[in-house]
Amino acid sequence: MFGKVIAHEIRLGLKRPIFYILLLGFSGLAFIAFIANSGALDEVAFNGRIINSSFEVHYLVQYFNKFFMFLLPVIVGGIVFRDFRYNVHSILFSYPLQRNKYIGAKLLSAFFLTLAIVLTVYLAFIFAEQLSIYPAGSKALFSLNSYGSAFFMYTLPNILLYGTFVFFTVLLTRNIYAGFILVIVLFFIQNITQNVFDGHGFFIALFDPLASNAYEYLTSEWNLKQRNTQSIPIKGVVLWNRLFWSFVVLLFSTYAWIKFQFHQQAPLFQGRFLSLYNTPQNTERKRVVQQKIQFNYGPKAIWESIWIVSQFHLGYIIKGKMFQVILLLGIFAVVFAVGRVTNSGEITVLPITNIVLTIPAFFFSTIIMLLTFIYSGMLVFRERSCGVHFLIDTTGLPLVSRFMGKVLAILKMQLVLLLVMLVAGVLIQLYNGYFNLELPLYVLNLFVIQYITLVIWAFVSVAIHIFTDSLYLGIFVLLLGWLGTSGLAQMGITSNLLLFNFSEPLLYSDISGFNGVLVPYFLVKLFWFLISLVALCLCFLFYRRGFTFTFGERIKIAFQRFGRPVRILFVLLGLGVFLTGLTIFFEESKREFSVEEEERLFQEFEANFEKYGSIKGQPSITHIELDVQLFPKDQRMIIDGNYLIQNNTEHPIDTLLVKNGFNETSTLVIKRPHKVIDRDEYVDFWVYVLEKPLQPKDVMELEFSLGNAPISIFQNTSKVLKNGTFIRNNIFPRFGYFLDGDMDVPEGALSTGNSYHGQGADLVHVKTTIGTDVDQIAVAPGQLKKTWIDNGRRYFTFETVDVIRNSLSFHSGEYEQKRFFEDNMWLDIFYGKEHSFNLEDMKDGFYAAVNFNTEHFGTPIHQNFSIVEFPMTQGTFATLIGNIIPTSEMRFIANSKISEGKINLAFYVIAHETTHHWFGELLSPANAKGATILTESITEYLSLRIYEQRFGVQSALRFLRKQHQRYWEGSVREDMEEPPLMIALPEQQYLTYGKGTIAFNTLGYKWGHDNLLCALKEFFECYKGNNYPTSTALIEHLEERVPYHLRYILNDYFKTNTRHTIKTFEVEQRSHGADFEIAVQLKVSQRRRGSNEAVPVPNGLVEIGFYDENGRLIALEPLQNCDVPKLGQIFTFPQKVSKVLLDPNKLLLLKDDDTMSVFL
Amino acid sequence: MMLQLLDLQKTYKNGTRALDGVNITIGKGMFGLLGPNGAGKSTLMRTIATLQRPDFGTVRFNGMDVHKEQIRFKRLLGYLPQDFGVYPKISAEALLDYFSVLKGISSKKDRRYKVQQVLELTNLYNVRKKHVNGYSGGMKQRFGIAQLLLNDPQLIIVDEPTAGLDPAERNRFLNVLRQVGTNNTVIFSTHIVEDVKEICTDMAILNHGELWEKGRPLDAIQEFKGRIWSTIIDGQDLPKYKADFEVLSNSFTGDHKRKIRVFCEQRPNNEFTSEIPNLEDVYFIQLQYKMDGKPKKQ
Repeated sequence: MFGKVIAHEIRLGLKRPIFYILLLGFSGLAFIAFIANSGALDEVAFNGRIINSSFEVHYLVQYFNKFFMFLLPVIVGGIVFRDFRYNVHSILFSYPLQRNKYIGAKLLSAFFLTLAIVLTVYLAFIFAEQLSIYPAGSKALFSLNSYGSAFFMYTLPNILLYGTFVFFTVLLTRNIYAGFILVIVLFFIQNITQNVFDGHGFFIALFDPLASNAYEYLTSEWNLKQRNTQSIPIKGVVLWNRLFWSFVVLLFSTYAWIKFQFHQQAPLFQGRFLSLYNTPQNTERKRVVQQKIQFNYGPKAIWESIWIVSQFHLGYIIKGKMFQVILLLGIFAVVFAVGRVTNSGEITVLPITNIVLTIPAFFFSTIIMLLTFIYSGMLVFRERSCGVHFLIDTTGLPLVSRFMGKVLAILKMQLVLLLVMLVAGVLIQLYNGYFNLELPLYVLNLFVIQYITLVIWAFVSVAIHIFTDSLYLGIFVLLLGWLGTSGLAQMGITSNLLLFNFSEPLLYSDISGFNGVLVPYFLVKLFWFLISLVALCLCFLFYRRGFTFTFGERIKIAFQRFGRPVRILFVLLGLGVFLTGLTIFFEESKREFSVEEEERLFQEFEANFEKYGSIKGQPSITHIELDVQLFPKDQRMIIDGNYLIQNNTEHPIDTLLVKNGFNETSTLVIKRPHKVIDRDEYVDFWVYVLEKPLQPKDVMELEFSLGNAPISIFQNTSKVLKNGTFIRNNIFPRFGYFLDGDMDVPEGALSTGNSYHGQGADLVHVKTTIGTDVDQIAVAPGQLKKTWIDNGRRYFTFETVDVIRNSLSFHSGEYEQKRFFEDNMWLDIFYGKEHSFNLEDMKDGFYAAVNFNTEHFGTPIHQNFSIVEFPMTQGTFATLIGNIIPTSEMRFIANSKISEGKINLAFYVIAHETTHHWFGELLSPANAKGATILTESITEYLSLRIYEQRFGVQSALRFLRKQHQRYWEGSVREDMEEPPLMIALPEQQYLTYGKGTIAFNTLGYKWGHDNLLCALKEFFECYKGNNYPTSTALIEHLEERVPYHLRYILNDYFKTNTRHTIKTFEVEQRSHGADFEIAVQLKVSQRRRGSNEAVPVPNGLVEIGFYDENGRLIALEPLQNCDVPKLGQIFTFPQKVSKVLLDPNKLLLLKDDDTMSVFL
Repeated sequence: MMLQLLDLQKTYKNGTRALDGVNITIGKGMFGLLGPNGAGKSTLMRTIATLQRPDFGTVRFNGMDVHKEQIRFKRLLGYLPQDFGVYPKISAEALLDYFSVLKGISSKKDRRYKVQQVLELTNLYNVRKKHVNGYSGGMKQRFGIAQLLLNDPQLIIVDEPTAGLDPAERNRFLNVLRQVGTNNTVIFSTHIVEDVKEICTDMAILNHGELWEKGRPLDAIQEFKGRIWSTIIDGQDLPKYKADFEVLSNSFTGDHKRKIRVFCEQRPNNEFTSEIPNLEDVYFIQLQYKMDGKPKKQ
């Protein structure tokens, strides 16, 4: 019997068209996904990534494993549900079946069919791998092992475990939708564990149902070489993960096995059914008073019935246990996701509404969308699945009231879920003591912006289910459509007319709002809304009522329903689609160039203008006079400028290379006879030849004017925002060829002679008149000289007292202003309304940095500084430009409560940027590798000292731990081989910020911070101004001063890439009379990366801290000979030791993890 | 109040001819539609109820073409299918309230009244709060009647409603139907002859999609007076009797013999005694006449 049931089930499965649709759909997707992941569609050259490495294969498989989950309810759930759906179970269960054989046969046949589809996906990968369309060198030899380990460690266990889970869920509930909901619940668990265990990768990996986080955990520290060559290990957390979930599934399966009987009624919820005959009968009877019943069939009655029908179906959805589980998990997901950025960890932000809405938005809207796919199918087929359609189909109200009632129920379900998100968000805010709830923003974001996308999906979802006439096929088509749309976007298709209901997440800032992105968003949404409405109306014509046996009959009925009102509706909708489509088409065609065209034009520019890269001698700008007129409401600007340029080279200059703003329209007037010999219109690069060359020290005047390119709905490159404008002078004309290729190696003290800040980054005198809307404040470099209002506009004049580096910024916004004056220095903070949380910390950071740096490096050249907030849509950074510190909104909303164990980011960021006035502004490095050690690394180190001075050693250590984390996280993401710090590139911030801080801190700790500060002061004095030193100059400078026995730090931390590893760390405590003896077994190794050469660990570098039960330090002991195998040392203390911590001062290049501390 | 079926034809994809030119006019009162399983009764019921389209022919109710004016017609229709399901976990009261919305009762007060009325009429008031999917077969059928009464229908179609009911439930059900059928046109399809006999004022027999006999049950019975004969035989002789006579039915007697009833214009021989005809005889005569074209023995 066992074999026959299996054969029967497989035969039935193979007869179903859905099996082949899924098989073809999945394998087709897999084939395309492999090619797309390889980059072959983008025609990119080999980027060092081996496309068929074990890592890449696993990466693709992890992606597909998520979609395989949806196969389980369809195939596995389908097989078990079939008996109940067609009521066969009432007969079948009376047969002499054995429970284990019945369940076993069903389960095995379900696995057979599921794995048949899954294996075709693997075959599609292998087939795609064999194509010869990939860049040379990007493919290694075929290895079955890569696919084998992915299949046996991840896919197969997932299918078996959750297939069993789904099987028994459907078996117990006798409801196939429970299978779909279970899959969504598993996704929820994955998301929630990611947020709950944030920062604890092992637990995230352990509790991830799909184990994709286990794969990420195992490979998180792999560099490119490892990714290309190594096999994914089958060990550790992945095995524990599989074991853990096997246990969970086993528990549930055992319960289900025991619970399942060959009974007519479902084992779960049985009590409710039985209650009919067990509960006392209600015998109360009211007298029915005769009354006349009013039957209404008019429009009002139809609308009322639509509402009541929708309530009826909504009740069915929200009263369902499955929905309630999803709802509960949804709340958890929101709470944990938001909590991760607002409450957990040391660097967090305040729960402002924008953050609360943005963080969980994608996950939650995806879940709502998936529920829409499932529940719309459930409602479409609801009457048929429970056989009540015979009764319903003969009722007197038109079909439209039932149809629209169901659609409305789905829309209401979406609203309920969005409302849950709102309530969860508000509760999080209140829990954190944040009371600026911004309900209008909640409503706009959730119930307008997000809802319109969901409404479109709801319409289409209902339409697809009706057209396909199958729940499984409908869900599959919808998933395919959803994935396909984002896939098209990734493949470079940008037209909104082709990307169904697709939109990039809208960026919002409390300062600039949505800044004009809502109009294009709603235009596109209107287009797709009308299309989805057409689909909905069309499917209504085919909506089943009564008995139809052939498609021909359905067509005939559809034609009959296609009456005059429907025809008028279709004409109107068609007109709407045409008009909005046409508008989008014309607006999109205003885009000057497509992405491909832009790439081609840029390549052409590089090819044609590379020859000018050899022209190095260009004039320096010495004086700038500007008239900046900003029109925030129209997002428009007009800038007129005047440059005074001087030949500071030793040779005459006859060729001027000028690059104008990329997105701006610029004109340049050279007040000397000249001619244009070359020009690139796309890049706006000009080559002028002066009839009379500019002699050394000769001065010349230049005038320019620029404005933003015209704004259209889809093309808005204007730098002017409605509020919070932040413009930099990189849109002004500048001199020199700007594509200079790779940076030079820092061979000499002043190797390039060019500033890292670029050609023309000279010291300039700037005078600016800036005009803006009357309700806005404008800020420009220098001191405010004058402000006035004229003709409904507000004007300001700023002028620099001393020369500043030619890096300028201009701001305008409806700012609040807070002014401070301490230590003979003015500080103005311009901030957005409601963003006053961190002003005191920023002020403290500023003055602490001014005092510290003034003490060590001299007085600043400005008497006033301004901190100006800019919208987070423009970036999350802060920077120093002249005497302005443009600071992202993200820093203004930082949660800086030291008392809660946070890092005071507001203090630190401003202290860091202020310190840049000395290292960055007054001292500018040469344009060579390692340049940012002189700016960022030194500044980070100095900020650490300032931070320590203000908040104490422990807080500073917390800060230093973050730098360690930054270094290690960046290091594993590095695609190239990690260079030594000394030649780090500016974009390698994990080195310049992270490792740089560690390196300087270790040097200062060992040598004495005062000695290091003194050495840095000498270096600063030597190179400030226009001398442009290199990192080589710094290291040589330090080598001359650092004592010989500590020079290893310069060698190990700066000049080479060295790392420390704990080999052994064992601690034992014994009482010895009144004393306590601590025996420490420790081995630390030190290796050069790349060569993997072992080098001796310097004596005294490794320290161990001993702590009492209150966490107080008892003693700090430097260790000798730490690389000797199992170095054993005994320490005696008069009190009990509770914790022993290796490297408590974070001196080593050692990954911070749990193995560094031992609790006794 | 008049229902006219004009040349209704329906052939399924598998070649089954379910309706083969059905022509009939049905007036007010209980109309019984008798026929064996697979005769096309349900197809005919569904076609009248507009749940299915005929390949050819027209259904008119009070002059309106019901397939062209479906919505108008459905406002006058009460339909109880042969087999129906209900939404799970919903009480009879809530479900009837929902149905009454779909049947055009928009006032909540009216709905409450109507639901209570039909619950009382069908004797379900006491179990109105219970889930319908937990009802017994008879209760569920009475619920079916309750739902069809919500819109005060002029035409009621009940398709094999008593199949599977125990005698007590069957009686209860027929009583309810009798109550509601006095002022309306009720089409009662069944293969149980007794049902028709008990409550129908008019009847017809349908087989292989063809409608053969129409008339009042008593008239039909009267027509065969003096033409029904019976005798008691050994069971083993039944084939022989079947070959020689028009055997309408046979039943076991207490001593394991068989009593056969035959249709014959005259007394076949001395073994046979005269019997008072019943509706079952009429039903079998009609089936056998049409199957063979004529009786085997006149």
